[in-house]
Amino acid sequence: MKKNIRTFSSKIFVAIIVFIVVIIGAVFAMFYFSILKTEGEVTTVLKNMKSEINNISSGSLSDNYDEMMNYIVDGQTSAIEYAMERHRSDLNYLANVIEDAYKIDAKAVYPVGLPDIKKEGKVSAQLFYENGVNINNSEIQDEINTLSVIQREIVYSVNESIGRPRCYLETESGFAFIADKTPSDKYDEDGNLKPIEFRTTDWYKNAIEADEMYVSDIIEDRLTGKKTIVLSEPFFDKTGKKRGVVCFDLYIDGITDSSLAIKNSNIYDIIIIDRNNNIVVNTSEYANTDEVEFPKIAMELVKEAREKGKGIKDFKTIRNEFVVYYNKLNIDGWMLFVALKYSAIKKNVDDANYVLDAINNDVYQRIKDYSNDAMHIIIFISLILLLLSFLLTKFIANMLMVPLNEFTKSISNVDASDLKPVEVVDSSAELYTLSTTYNGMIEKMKDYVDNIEEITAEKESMKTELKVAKKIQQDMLPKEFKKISNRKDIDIYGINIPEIEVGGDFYNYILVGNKLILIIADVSGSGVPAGLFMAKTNSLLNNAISWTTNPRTIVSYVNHALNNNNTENYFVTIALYTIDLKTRHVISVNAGHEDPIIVKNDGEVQVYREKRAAFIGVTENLKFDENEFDLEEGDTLFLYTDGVIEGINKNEELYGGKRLIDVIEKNSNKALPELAKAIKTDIDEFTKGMEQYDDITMLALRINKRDSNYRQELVNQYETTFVGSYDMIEDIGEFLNDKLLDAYNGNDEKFKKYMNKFEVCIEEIVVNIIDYAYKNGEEKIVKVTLEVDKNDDKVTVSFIDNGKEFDPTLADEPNILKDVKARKLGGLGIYITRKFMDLMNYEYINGQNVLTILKYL
Amino acid sequence: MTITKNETADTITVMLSGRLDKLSSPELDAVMKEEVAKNKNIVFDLKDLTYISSAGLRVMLATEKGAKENDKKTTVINVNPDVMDIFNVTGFTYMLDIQK
Repeated sequence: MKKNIRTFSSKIFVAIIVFIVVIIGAVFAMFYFSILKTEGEVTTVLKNMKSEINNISSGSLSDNYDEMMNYIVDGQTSAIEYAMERHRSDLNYLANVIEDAYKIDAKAVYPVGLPDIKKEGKVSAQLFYENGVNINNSEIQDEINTLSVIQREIVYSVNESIGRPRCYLETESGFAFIADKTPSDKYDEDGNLKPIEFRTTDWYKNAIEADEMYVSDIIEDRLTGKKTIVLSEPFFDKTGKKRGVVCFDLYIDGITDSSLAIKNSNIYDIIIIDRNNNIVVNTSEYANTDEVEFPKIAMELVKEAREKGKGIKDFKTIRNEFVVYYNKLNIDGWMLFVALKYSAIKKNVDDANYVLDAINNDVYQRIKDYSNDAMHIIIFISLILLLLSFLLTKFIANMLMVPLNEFTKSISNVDASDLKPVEVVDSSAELYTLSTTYNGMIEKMKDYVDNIEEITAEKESMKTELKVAKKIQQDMLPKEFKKISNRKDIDIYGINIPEIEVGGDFYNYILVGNKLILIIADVSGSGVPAGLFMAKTNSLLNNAISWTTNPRTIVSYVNHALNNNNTENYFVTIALYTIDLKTRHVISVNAGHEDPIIVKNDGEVQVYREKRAAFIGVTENLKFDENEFDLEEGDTLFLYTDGVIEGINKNEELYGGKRLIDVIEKNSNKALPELAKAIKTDIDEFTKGMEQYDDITMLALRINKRDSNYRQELVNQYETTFVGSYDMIEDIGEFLNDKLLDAYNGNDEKFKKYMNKFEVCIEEIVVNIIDYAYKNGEEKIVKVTLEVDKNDDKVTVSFIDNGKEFDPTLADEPNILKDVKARKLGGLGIYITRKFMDLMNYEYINGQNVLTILKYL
Repeated sequence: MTITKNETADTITVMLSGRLDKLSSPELDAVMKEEVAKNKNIVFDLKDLTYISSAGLRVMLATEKGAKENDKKTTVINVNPDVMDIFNVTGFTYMLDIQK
């Protein structure tokens, strides 16, 4: 421990020293190199300047000037083109808006009116028309109304733009709108509208003919005298017919203000000409004198510029020599010229030579001296810093490590069996916090050691409770497959393997008379909550089945009942099958559950696609369609939950229905428990190494084939009709005894022990018939048929009467555990019969009540 | 069916033999109504009773109810196996005090 501490302290020491040395080194190196660099740069710059100056004086232009000139040409070009582009896009916008107005056949509420002097000084839209145009014509009125919807736009376009005094909208029909500030100048001295002709103007004709935006020649604005151009663009109606032109008056100085700003430069002049070589801009001080009227004396230069588009050319006048940079502008034949004055450059060179000589002789030497001094100072400061940091580091390391060592000594005495707090020896804040935190931790550790046993015990008890819950849940699932299988005509087997201790899957089967009800269901979620919901669902099912065997009624009832108080929104997928064991006809309802698999008696495996409703438990409004199909001898009905097919293997593949069908196909001839086992083994192999993901539940019913050595001659049938009252009970008992003796060749060994039960059942059934089916005074006739099947020692007795329809099996089951006082008299007879016989079934056939009881001997 | 009674100071013993069914139970019912009215403990001796149906059970239940209202006990003795079967499936073994 101690050894480590020493190492740690010296590590801090070394680290700080290294850090400081590196920083000082870096600073030193930086200074040193920057001084060297400055020296070198100054030398180079001076050399370059000298050679440049020499170059200029020898007659050719330096790169620096060329760069500057190109910069000016590009800057001017983009400034002018940008200004123009803004007008173009505004104009194009207006043309689009106008076309939209035609398209929708718009009608303005307030059409544009004649010029109104009251509006002088503000931009307003005004109506004009050429001589001979009848503006009262209804078609023209319509067009005026349509175009008037954009009067705000044209007013706005003048208001919002500097250098754009006017906007026109001129139509083929001969009328126009003008937006400007001066309605008054539209009238002559007599107050009549001045005549106007616009369809003959060159901007109108050119735009209309060219079908595109047109830039006019330079004209003079009649109000201000300013140089102006007109920008015009045609517009069309919805049929594509040209209807007129929209245009802007634009002041030249608004477009070229960036060039005009250059006026009277000693170094260069800017000249811009239009497509007719008319001057648009000239910044030269001699611009207005004839002798240097630029295009006139420079026709050759202009010609070359128009041919090449962009370039440089030397040019001489009486007064000066120029290097002219030219560029074609993106405005209808406009050219830009920037002329660099050679005399200006020459003067600059002479001045520069003088300064450079001075630098050479004096400044350069001084820079050298300063840099030497600076270097010495830096070296001195670095040494002092190094020494200081050495001392400081040693001091800090001592201050930190000494109290830390002491603290470590005191906590090294603590061990797990004796958890005691340390005494705080140092008063510095960090160490105090460390000590109290450490002591707090010791306290928590004590509590933890105390609690841990308690927690372990609680966990154990929870585990036990879960196990009990599992047992209770498993007990809800019927397991006595043998009891039903005693029937010999069917086999049944079910299995439920919950994902954790308790789960939401369940199956159930209930025999009601001749009807076997199979149920398979899956409650959403898993664990105890799903388990509880499953228990609720199961008991509701049992409840419903006590009064009906109709699948739709049962499932509807359970859905209704589950919807009450289902605040957690659990839901259940359920499939319910009612199988008439006599006819093997199946009626089923499927609510969101997997389709059943039917294994036909020839081994063919098929998925029976059922009409399905949504899962139950969350909404009342469900319609449950019934499915009906028939099973044959040897067929197997296989039901399962999604956990069977949704196992996932290491490669994240799904087990799937196809595999299930394959494994069922391979094992279809096996007994049901073996079949279920084979499926479970197949799933386990597939999902090897993965945890079980969902509850796995299967339920299978097989209609057994009749024994191959079944012999019809071992079946005896008898029939007698009894008339009278209660006294017929004993007669029927005797009839049964006699015929059984007959069937078993006088040997009562097989049936003797059941005779008392038979007698009681006969009495209960006959009493019911006499008391309820027949009216008082009516002749009581009961036909009794008896079938003794010695193949499997099955005795079937049917009681047939002609009384009114009466189903005794619907009688309430008495609660046999009720206290004596609370218990009703009656209802017992049918209950006893049901208990004593293997089957009791009631049917109403051809106007007769047929009650059948069956007993396997 | 034959009904034989044996009465002491606080107990009436009713011995039944033969079949207690729909036909014979009204007779027993009438007898037992009288006996219950005597306000004594009742013992059914079923040594010779070979048969009982729900009609007979009803009479025994009515007797038990009547006696209980008087705070008297009803006891059943000497039950034959066939009759015991019925007591078992109907839950009468829980309601009647059956002595083995």
